[in-house]
Amino acid sequence: MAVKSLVLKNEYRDSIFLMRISKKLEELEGVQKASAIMATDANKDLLRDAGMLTDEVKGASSNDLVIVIDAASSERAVEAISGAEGILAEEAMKRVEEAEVIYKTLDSAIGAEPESNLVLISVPGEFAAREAERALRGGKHVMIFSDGVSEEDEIRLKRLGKEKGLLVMGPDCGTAIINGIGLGFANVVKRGPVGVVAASGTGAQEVTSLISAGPGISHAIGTGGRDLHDEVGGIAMLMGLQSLADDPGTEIIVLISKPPSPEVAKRILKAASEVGKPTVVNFLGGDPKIIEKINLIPAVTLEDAAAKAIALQRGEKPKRVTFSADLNEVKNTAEKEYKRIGPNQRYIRGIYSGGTFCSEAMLIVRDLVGDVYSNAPLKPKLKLKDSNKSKEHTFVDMGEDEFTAEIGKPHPMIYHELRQKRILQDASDPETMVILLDVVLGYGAHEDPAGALAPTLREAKKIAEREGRYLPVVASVCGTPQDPQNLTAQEKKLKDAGVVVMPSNAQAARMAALIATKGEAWNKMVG
Amino acid sequence: MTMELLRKPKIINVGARNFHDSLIAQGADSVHVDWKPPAGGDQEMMKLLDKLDKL
Repeated sequence: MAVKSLVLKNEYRDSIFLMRISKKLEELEGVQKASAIMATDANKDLLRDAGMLTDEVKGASSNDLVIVIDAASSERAVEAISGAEGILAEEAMKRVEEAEVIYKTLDSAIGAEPESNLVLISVPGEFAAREAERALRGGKHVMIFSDGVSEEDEIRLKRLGKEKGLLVMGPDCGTAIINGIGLGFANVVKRGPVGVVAASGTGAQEVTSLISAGPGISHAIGTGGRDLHDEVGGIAMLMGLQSLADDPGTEIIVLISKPPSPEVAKRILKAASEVGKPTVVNFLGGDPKIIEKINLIPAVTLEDAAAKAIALQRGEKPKRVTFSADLNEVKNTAEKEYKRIGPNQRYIRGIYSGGTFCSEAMLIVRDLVGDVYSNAPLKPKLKLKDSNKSKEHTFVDMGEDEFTAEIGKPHPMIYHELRQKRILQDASDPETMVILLDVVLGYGAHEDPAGALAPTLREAKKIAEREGRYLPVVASVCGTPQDPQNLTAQEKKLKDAGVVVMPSNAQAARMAALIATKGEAWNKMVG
Repeated sequence: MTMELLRKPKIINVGARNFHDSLIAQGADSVHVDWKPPAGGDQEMMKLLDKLDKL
């Protein structure tokens, strides 16, 4: 074993780019672990824990980019280091060849690009508010993808934006689509008359992707998860709603959020009822009655919100979708799976990359199978003591900080290693009855998520088989056929690995519950 | 208020290069800021620079 490092003084690269380099280097023969990271104190601590903190890296500053390789031999480590230098040089060369204008600071970009109207910010959280304020003072709308911005800063920025008539999407706004252009994590959707305002990025992705198969999307405006807290007061959702009200291309509006505080809910629903355009509201897990009372259309799941928007556009009466395929076919598929399950297999294990998908699935499943433990539970008493260990029915949101803080391990929509480990761990547990997954496509996501997960899922099924069990796997793929990864091709890769693929996260959760109850949940679902 | 944005977003991307590349791939109007932590990430120095800027 040999650990070698390289320090590049005053070189900065963003974390997504560095993760890609780390991954490429780890694929080289003889390389056990590779880290291309900024030498911040926190990252140095992580390197120390991994036994990769060399003296050279110890002396580096947070301004320096370091590459550390842990390889089988000294030669392999040196090879990998020169590989990294090659990748960096190639990237620099590409920029020169493209003769691209690259700005050094936001201020210089604003000065040189007076026509620009939106600043997309994805710098580390501690710096994001500073850049956002500069953007607003420069008269630009803002989307803050970064998380780790304080609520105090969020309130200050949103109030400043409101005063100037500028939209502040985020912090922690993963997804927006503006006039067909996807920002952050977004799917390639058909243009159409349905406008969305969403406090959840994956919520927006599911709804826009499903509506893309119908009338299509005008815009999807993100707000960030805290916008509907009392303290923030729904500033972004109210401004987003007003934008869609004023937009002649938007005929139908969909609002997506976790249940807001009663005060904020009142304000939003009142504003929505005054817009004069049919509006579907999904306050995930909230009470639909207050929505119905003021003549707005409540939706219980993301798919339900999409289906109702589609029905409204077609002038049909909105109805609830339980399963979209032929019901007999659905029943048969479930039966084929549960007939092969052993008597000691008892629990569903949901392993999610999207937090909203995880919550939505828990809401659906708890009514059919009972309590679900989680690292992001529906009730505090259902919080897992150790997020790394499943207990009874367990759904984990692997996008939570506790999983992504490890070195070079960004979000599970980009990087699958942690999810793969968890899948194999749960497959080895004799009590696991069904594994339930989400797969998210679109810009920003992994280039081939189903391709990355399929071998792991095959392995998971083999692990169970070796121990005399059959392990059903249920998944849904959030995306469209126009996405760079292609929905149809991604679904096929999963099906070929023996996965039951459902057309939405909600239907996947129902299918898992159907298998887990050996069909008993059918009557409750379908009636 | 947001009419111009909704008609045609023209983006300045600050941070992940990947997002700029995705925007260009979609045919969007985007420029990239090769962002680095200001003042080498030194928060005290950053505040001082911000004060100077405002003067």
